[in-house]
Amino acid sequence: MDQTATVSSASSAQQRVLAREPLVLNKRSYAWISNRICGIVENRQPLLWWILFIPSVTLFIAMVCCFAYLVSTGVGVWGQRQPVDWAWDITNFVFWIGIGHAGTLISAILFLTRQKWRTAVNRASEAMTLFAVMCAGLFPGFHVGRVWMAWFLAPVPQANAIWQNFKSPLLWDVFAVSTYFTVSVIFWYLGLVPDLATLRDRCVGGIKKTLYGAFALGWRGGNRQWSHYEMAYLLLAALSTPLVLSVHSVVSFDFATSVVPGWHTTIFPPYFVAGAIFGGFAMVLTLMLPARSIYGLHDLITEKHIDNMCKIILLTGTIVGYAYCMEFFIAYYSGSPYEWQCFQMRVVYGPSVWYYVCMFTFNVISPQIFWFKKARKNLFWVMFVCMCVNAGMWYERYVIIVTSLERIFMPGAWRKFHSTWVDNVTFIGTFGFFLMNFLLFLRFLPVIAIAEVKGVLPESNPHYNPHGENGIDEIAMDAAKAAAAPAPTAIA
Amino acid sequence: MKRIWQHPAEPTTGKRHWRSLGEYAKTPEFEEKLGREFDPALNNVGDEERESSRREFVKLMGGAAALAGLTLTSCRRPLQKVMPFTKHVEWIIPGKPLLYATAMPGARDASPMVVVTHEGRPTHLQGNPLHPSGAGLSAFAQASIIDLYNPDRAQRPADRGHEHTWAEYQESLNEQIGDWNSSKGEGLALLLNPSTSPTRAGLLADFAKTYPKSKVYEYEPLHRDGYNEAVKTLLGDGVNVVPQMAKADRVFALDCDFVGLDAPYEAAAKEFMGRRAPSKASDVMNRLYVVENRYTLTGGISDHRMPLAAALIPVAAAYLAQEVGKLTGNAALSDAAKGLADSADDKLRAWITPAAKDLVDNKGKSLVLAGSRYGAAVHALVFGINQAIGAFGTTLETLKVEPKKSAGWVDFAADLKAKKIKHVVVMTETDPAYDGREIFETIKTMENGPVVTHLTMRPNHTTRYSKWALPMAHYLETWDDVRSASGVYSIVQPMIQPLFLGVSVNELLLAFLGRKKFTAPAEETKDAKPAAAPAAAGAAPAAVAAAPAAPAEPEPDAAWVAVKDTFSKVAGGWSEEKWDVTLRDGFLAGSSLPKASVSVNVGAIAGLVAKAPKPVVPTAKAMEVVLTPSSSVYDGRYVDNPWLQEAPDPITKISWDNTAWLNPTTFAELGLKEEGDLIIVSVDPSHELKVAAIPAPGHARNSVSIALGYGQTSFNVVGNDRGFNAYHLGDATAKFVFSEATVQKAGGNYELANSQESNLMEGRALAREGTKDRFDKDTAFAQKEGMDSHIPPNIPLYQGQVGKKSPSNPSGFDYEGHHQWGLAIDLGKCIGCTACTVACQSENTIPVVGKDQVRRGRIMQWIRMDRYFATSGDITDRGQAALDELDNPEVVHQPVACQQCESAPCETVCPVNATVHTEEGINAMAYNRCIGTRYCNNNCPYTARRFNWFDYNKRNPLINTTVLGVEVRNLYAGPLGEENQDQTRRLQRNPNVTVRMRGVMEKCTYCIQRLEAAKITQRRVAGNDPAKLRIPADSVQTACQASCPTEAIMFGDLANNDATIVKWKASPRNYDVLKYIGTRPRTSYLARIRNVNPAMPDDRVVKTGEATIHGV
Repeated sequence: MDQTATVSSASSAQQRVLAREPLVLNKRSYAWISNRICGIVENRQPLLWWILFIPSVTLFIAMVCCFAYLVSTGVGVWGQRQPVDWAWDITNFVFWIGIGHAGTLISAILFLTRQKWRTAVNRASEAMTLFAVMCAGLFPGFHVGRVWMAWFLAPVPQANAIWQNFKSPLLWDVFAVSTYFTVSVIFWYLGLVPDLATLRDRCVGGIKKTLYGAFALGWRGGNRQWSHYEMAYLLLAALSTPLVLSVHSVVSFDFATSVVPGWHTTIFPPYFVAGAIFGGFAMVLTLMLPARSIYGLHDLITEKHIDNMCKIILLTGTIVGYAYCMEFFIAYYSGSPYEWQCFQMRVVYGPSVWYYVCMFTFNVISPQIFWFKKARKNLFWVMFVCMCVNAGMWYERYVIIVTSLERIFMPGAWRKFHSTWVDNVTFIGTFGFFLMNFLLFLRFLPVIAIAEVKGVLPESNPHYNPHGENGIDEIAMDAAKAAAAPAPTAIA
Repeated sequence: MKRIWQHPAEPTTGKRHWRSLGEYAKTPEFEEKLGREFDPALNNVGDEERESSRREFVKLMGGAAALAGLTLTSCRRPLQKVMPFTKHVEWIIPGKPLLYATAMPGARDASPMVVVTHEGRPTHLQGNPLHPSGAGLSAFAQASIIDLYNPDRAQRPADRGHEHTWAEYQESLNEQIGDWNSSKGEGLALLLNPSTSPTRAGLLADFAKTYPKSKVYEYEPLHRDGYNEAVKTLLGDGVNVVPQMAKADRVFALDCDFVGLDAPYEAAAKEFMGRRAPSKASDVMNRLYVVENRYTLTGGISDHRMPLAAALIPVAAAYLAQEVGKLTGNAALSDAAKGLADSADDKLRAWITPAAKDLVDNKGKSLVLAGSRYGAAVHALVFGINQAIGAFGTTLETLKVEPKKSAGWVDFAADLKAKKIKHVVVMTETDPAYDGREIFETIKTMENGPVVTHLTMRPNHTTRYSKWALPMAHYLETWDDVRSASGVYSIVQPMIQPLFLGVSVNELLLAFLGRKKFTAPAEETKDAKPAAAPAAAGAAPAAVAAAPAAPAEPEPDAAWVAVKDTFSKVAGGWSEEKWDVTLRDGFLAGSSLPKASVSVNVGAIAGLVAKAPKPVVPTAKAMEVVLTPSSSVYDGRYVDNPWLQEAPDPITKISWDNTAWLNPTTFAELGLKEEGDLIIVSVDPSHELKVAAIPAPGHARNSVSIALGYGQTSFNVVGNDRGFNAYHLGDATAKFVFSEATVQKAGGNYELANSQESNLMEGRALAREGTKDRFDKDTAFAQKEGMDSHIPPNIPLYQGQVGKKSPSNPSGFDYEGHHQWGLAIDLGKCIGCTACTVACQSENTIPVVGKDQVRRGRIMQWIRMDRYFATSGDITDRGQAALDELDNPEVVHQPVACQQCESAPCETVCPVNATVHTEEGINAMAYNRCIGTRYCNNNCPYTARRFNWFDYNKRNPLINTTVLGVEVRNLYAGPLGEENQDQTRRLQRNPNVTVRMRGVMEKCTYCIQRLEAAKITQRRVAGNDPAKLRIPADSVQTACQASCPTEAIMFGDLANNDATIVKWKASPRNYDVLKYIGTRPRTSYLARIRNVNPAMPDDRVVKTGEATIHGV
């Protein structure tokens, strides 16, 4: 079903404009869109949903048990040891928080830059963001030795009369992540309001209608409401945009401001942000490709969307690759034997060389396949690369955090890290938590922003000409027409 | 609710008392007033308002509930009960320590010490600086305090496992004494460890008089029979030879670990290392040559070292004797040595010849020492050499002592087999059924074998053979006396009533002599729980000038009387004043042994050498096995000591186990891959041992060293089943080098707890050293190593920057008038013995974490001993060339604790301000504030912080518990695990140090509790004079400093120019570790200097070794 528009007439090629690929295929109507998306919520879930949901809940329960064990017994149930005081915990934290970046990037930055293709994936990726940040938040929350004293991080007066240390990047982290999470929730919820109203209106009655109604905040779809809504959305998008950049920059400060060789690097903020977007997009695809095929959303999430996201993965993956190389070069160029040895041991003869090999292969080499359009079109390869990137980004954080600490300044203190079963189960458990949340989201909320997708249909364009060619940008067509008569012919 | 005050009913008869006329008149106003707790006139609130309205109630309840919920008031508030003294005890002020002087008895010497007691509990031991040979304590002595509180100590007299009272034992003893009296002690044997106690010697003499047919046997597993024989043959009976390390310019040690486990006298390490810390080019250093089969601490500090199989040590001695004989024209000596010396190979000759010349060139200032366990031939040769190089009278002192009358282990074994012994009383620190297993096992096979009475601190293997097992008192619980190696007399005074009703050897001897009766009064305390008891009456505090009078008990302690009698004899008559001063200072001033003038009977050397067994060169097929003392448990007697078990071995860094040490090449040749791979060592068909092997750089090839003392089935969880019992390889008391042993790979791996994974410094200039030559050319060479010469100088933070903001004082804080603490560690003096580690553990209540946690890298010791090997070539390549480099690398030790950085990376990253700087330059920890993010330790370049991964202080890490039918390690059982273990060991804790809970970071704080105590004292001294608020220079010591046997640690006030630390910091050898990061540490190191002999063949290795550590 190749929908690419091509220009066939050679004689008038110069006057012709390449037709844009439509964002919604097969000339789907408003009603079809509403029915299809609301149908996911309103109909019974397919068997596959249950097949995924039950193990997810099981893993989630395992995670809760692991955290309970951790808190009741001590952080020692994890594998950390001198001098590796952070290992899987902070690796997982950075990993999840990175995943949480794509959502807000898609919904905010792409919104501000008028990338209309975002509408098909923004809702799901925002939801993914929230769930990923929830997973991320668990780790710094529970990794501390005395969880019950974690409120010391909050600037509230208490008996010791000791104030927080605002010099500490960990405290910046607390504020950055909580701000990011709060803004993301509000942004996501604001976007949901019109769709919640749609669901409310489609409900026959009962508790569902009441609940959707309550959360729809009395949305009626009037012009004034739309006008305020659009402005609020725009403002929130503007507010979220710097957060996308700031959160992971601040997370990277946890490392960059320290003196540890392998951490003490100025390249970290951009490198971390690029990595986060990279990993985030991979995760969006990982989630959306199965959802697209299960719920029959091919017309809404088209190959163009996938293609775009693959291109972003290629770009950010290459930036990350550049960062790896530059980091290595600077370690050498710095003249500091500690830095240089740290990197040599990461790559050549340290105890965790394999982690570096995995990281580099998965993150830098595997996305290079996206230079080829065929690969971007082949869902198997797309999924394969996304899986590589998902794993590779975890390895990246492990390499940064653990291998640096394993080979810190004094060789007398060196020790290799080994994880324990609690480390493993906790981490796998967060996937359960994440998937469980996502599946519940699929079950109860519209996975695609109905109102927004309708907005990108050709019919939504005030200048829409129902007799024009299918799927062609009418405004561009008009402009082209104005420039040169006779109308170009596009063949589907 | 209104509270009605219930007044007692008024008496209806007798006198009537009234408070006011109103009461007298019983007016209603007064009655009403009386009913109230408080007079309403006192506040202006009307009655109606005082009534609790519903609104008021809800308000208060709501607020209370909210507060309760918000602040979690009921959550995790630790429950602690404080029991005050009902009667105040003299001198005791809660929280303030009392110091008493005493000494720990040794086999041939004593460790003079000061005991810190808190509310009657001894909590910490440290060296007695007043004592002529005193400074610091060995790790063994330091850790002995925790043995006092061992909950698994023997607690009651037991007759074949049935517990009795002491009075019941006395009844049994009375019968025995009757028997002994009638038989004049026929068949009665006492088995003792050697001791220097004059009181014990006197009691044994009395014993021999009372029971003339009884016999006394003295033994120790690591005996020196060969040495004694050589002394007797060459020098005569009753001579004590004491080396004078302070006078020796050249020392040649033949497998003699004289700074470590084979110290000839208490202060050997201090005196020797004292001359290895030059401060300027003209300073003279001593020089040390070492030949040994494995790395020892002495090998580590040596200037030239050669690994040589232990079986060939006699050859080395002989060749050295031959060379020295030749050079000094002493034909008798070289002739005597010739037979053995001929088997020396070229490498050995080339190495020894220049060394021998060096010794002879420094005639009168040289000294040769041999391992005390070698045979008479080696010692005879060594005495001959020492005679030839003029050591006697200069570097070797001879003292006159009473000739030993007691028999030894060999006689005991013979008499036992001959059934001459009917009753043996074992009164040893060691465990003869463990270390002399084969001898003791014969008792089992005998019909009508001897009855065993066993006086012991802990139930052990001998207890299983015993009819009577009696609890022995710790030396901190009893009266005794000791002499140092040079004869300085000290009194051992009790610090506490015996916790577990133990009695000392002296007391039991007194009971045997009928001079002490175990009677009812002792029984009164039978049911008393082991708890803090006030210091025994009569003990004199060192801090109080006027000692108190002797105790006025109705019946004085027999042991005390006996010690006083001995004291009268030693001091030349009784003097109350002298007694008090001796107790206070810890030694009798002016006491010493008389000097003996000896002449070495050189002619006898040849005879002894001829008797020596022929040396066997070990080969891959027929290796040699050397049984060595253990740095943790010595000969097995300290196996139940958790601190010693956890303190890593200084060379292998293994805790909680012993291992078979193999040369890395031999290790590879046996097909072994990982450390801990098992091997089977068999010395003959009936003696073999499966043991975990470890590649030990610097070990002689085809030689296996196994430390003794492990593999015990103890009754105590600490010592039970740790490591491998090397006594199984044969009678270790007979010999310690087994030649022609076969060693094979056994398959399988044994998990070892190695506290240091990396052996190399990786070209990082951490522990710096140089040769004397290099130092003479450029005394400040150490300050230019690594990247230090490329970076701007570290400006001391708080000097000359008073109150002004500057790059070095960014806060602009006014530091004037405060102490500025600093510490320096002289690597030139440090021998790596880990006494500081144990001292810190004792002072700062540092928990033991157990083998499993050590294996996971979670050892809690605040001061760790890094050990690095340095080679001259590259060893990253895995080939044979790399292994060859490990044949004889250098060893450097570096103690690392918190460096108290002025610009501390840990402080900036703590989100909750739990680690902050004091104005005195200490990086302080607020444990209550710490939430355990562990960021500080990640950012600590020195990895000096320790995290409480579990509740180590609360839950016993050494045991397993069963949770839901599954056996798990107690720490991992969390709230389902056992709590409140080791109640008695808690008594040792320093009350001035917070006990840290899980989830909290901790680290060295320069013993801040000691600093605060000193400051409080000084404040009282200063009164209103602020100028005197600064404590006097060098008046406060950290625990590590006070314990260091070689005085390698100096602590003090950097802002006080009189302080010794200021001089140390001004030394050209002084440098900061990782200066390049700009942390400005307050702890610095003084580089080690090796005094290399350029004529030696390994001169090149020593020098290039130095380049490799620091170059790259």
